[in-house]
Amino acid sequence: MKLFVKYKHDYKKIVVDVQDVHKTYQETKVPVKALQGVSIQIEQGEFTAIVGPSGSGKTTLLNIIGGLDRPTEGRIYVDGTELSTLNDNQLIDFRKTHIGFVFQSYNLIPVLTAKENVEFVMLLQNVSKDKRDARTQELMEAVGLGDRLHNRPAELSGGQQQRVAVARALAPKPAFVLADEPTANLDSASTANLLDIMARLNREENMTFVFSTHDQRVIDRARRVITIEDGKVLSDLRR
Amino acid sequence: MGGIYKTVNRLSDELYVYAQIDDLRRLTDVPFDGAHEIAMLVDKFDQTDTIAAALQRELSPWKVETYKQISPDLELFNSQIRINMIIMTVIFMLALIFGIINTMLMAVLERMKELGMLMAVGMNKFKVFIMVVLETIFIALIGAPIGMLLGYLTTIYLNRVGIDLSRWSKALEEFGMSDTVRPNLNAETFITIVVAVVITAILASIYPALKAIRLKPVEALRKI
Repeated sequence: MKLFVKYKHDYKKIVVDVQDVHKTYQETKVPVKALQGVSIQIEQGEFTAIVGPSGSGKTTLLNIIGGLDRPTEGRIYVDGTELSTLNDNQLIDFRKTHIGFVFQSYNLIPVLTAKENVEFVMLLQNVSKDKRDARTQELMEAVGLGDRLHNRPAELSGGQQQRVAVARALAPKPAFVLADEPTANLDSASTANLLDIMARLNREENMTFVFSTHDQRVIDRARRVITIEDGKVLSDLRR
Repeated sequence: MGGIYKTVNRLSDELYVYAQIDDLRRLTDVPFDGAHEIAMLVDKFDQTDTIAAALQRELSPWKVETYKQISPDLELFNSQIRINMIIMTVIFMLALIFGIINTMLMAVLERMKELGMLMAVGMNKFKVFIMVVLETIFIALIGAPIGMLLGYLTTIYLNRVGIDLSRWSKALEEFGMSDTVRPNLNAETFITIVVAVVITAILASIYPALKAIRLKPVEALRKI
């Protein structure tokens, strides 16, 4: 596979390479073809939105890119590793070190403070306490919550919780961050704020973001919009 | 005749007559320094058979009999109490197992999303399994001392006050039992049961823990 492509007079690393992926669900008697031959490449530093109506297959694509689900056919390389070569436990470890997740409903652990939620993945990676503390502080400040380290999720607004979730996703220094409808539960002020933070992290840290969304506010900010319909890529626009 | 006595045991009231030993010896031709029967008390209840057999070898032609031979109803009564205890213990342990499975299954199903998230961000199945089992152990470790204390206090209280069974005193007299029961706590039983409870709790947590690791993160995350 190609790890680098020439793009805008610059060699960029390919973080995600999806090659002719099909996914068929056999849950009922009639098989559901969620993805029918999707091929996309996402380069380092991209700020990409995957859009499409519900049932288009965008969530399936996101799950497959994130190593949460496996394709029926086709190959996915993340950061140079082909995901189908990993067994279930290796895949869990791979996700831990390579992929940051932001979920629609934040999914913070309610009994832990914001700081502990961010630290959690680093704990799983056996990062030393000093490094964890420094990284947590840095990330919480980056998402504008440097003063809310010791608050529990219930004491934070939805927008703040989602910012903690972004900090958590970034904690293990992943190859890219995958966000499934990150703004679906947020008001417009929180959405703008969250997008500002993610755009800044993208610009300043060269962090790659991939969203699934049908929120126009997010689509407007994305620098690349991939539209999925009926399990196929309908359009792929860079701007 | 000196008098008529009455105990709680009607059976013995009807069976026994108390008399001066010298009067009896005169009547029965037993010499003054002799006896026709010797009763022995052993320390360990379950050794009666071995001791009786050993004595029999030494004391032949005298006849040595255990309480089981002299009074088989006592032995029956004893083994019935033992069987009752076992049945009760099994019932309590079953109730405990279902109680714990129910509690932990709820804890797992309620937190499907959380567990799905943990597995998505990289917590492996082994750690999730251990997490659920550890949670159960903590619950057992909190519950066990409270239960031990309550059980201990209840037993002490009932031992002091006694369980009043006087409503059935007529029937109990037939069996030679007092109409007040005073429960006693034996340290060995107490500790055995506590250990059994903790082990049962850990065993009962395995099913919910397996349920937790069988969750697929994608499906678990979608649950509300």
